[in-house]
Amino acid sequence: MKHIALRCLTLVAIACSANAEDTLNFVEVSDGIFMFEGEINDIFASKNGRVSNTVFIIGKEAVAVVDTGASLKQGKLIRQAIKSRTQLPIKYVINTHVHLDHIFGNQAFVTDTPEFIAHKNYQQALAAKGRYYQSRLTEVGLGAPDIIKASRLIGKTVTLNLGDRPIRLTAMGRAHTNNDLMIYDINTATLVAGDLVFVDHCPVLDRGSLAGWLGVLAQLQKLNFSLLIPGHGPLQTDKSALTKMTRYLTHLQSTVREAVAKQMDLHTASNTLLQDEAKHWRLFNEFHKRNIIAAYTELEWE
Amino acid sequence: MKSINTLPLKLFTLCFACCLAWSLYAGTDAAEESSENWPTIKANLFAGDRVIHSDDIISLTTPTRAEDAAIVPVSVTANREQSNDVYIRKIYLVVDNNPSPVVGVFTLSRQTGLASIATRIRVNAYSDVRAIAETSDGQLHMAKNFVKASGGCSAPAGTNDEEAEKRRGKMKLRQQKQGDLMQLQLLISHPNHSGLQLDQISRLWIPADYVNDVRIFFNSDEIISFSGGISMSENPSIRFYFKPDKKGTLLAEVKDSKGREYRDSWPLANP
Repeated sequence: MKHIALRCLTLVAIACSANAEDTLNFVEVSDGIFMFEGEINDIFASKNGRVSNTVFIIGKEAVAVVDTGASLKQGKLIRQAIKSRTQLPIKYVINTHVHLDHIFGNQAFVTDTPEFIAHKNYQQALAAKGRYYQSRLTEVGLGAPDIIKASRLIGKTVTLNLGDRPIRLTAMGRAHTNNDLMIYDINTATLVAGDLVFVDHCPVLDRGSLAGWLGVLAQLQKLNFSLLIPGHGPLQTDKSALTKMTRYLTHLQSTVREAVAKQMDLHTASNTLLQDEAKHWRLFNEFHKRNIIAAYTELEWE
Repeated sequence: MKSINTLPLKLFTLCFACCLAWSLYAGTDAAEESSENWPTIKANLFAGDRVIHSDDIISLTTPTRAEDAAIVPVSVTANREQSNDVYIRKIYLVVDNNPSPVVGVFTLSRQTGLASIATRIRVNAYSDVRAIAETSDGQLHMAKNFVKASGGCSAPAGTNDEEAEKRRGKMKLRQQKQGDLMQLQLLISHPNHSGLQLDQISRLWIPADYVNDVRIFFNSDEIISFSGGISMSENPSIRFYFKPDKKGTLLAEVKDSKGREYRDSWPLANP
């Protein structure tokens, strides 16, 4: 009976999705800046993999798109959303970091011949992870879009001009990953932070650096911005999201450091530490244990 | 017209999705029941047709679902002391569905006091993870768990391996007194490349380069050793016990598959 119920549910879900017109809801959050807010969900549990935020910025001469989602389909819908608003060329496709929920719509933009821009460490990370990501996406029915290499790598800071609209790209040190890039739209003082900032969604440390990430958050606290677009979660108009993340990561650091000193084993540590943080974050059960493992294996070499 | 045209497509999508959901569902059940690989692994690992007891000589702790498939903590608890007439002299760790299923074998002396060990492994697919203890009377005793993970061996070691590369060969020994035993943890900084990670810039596989031999001595007596392969996580960690009866020095000798040798020593903390 359980099996039949499961299949019926699948039927209904598929039928519904086939009937609804599929578009992405982009909101103009500031003059010429459009944001799609992804669902806060684990990509492998989600229906269509649309779990990360995408931004596009329209200048007087060109368009830049920041992150392209997890599938070719999503990339095409992003492109369609841009094309429905402007005929200006899409000159830049910027990936904030290498994670699979941010890069696999890139293929949809190949015909626009944009520059594909990323952090200097991106290529290496993509080389290492690309195929693995393709196989994971295939497993959950999101297809296996082409791996699109970056055509331009940023080592420090570069300013691009979209036509009376300069945007500043900054390559960060190890934080969420080792290839985080953030984008700042100077005219509107909007920060597109990628996964350097998580809102509501439990932050995820993926072989980045806990100490490095705390350093980056301290930098962001000093930055003047009027709007902050995180990689996951809703638009922010103040710095409270930074404060909340800093509190969690600091707590993680001190607690795990103590566990390392006490020789608490990794399994126990990941299962027991900081359970009281659960109330502050969505997807806590999916990512917090992993954060402890990442923190532990970083801090034991201090 | 439109609805007529799209109907077959919708039906096809429906059927396809059902089949997919069904096969995923059925597949999980089957994987949990048995492992196709185990009979072959067993035949290769243990000569002849040896009986393996499923009893309580050891117990195994693993996560049910790996949080990070490249770093899965496993611990084996020995349920009898090494002072017993029949003591545990070897512990094999096996991940049935890994490309290299035998993680390695630990050889334990009586001086360990307690043959409990813990380490971190890579788990490449949903798989049974097994610990098999060989006792000094030649009997085999097994504990196993099913672990859900994917991509531990082919997933890149990640960015930590930059650090591991810089620190290559550096070791740490953590010591903690627990009753009349010392709990020791040896950490070895090493990228432990599995050989299954693709470098897509060069289009070449990163060559296997891993720690394959670890020996730990107290004064001149070997107390525990490990011999193994690519299924150990980067920066290998081995936790074990030692029952000291005098002052002395702990020495670790480590070799990797490229023939490099590393050694370090530490005075035994006051027992």
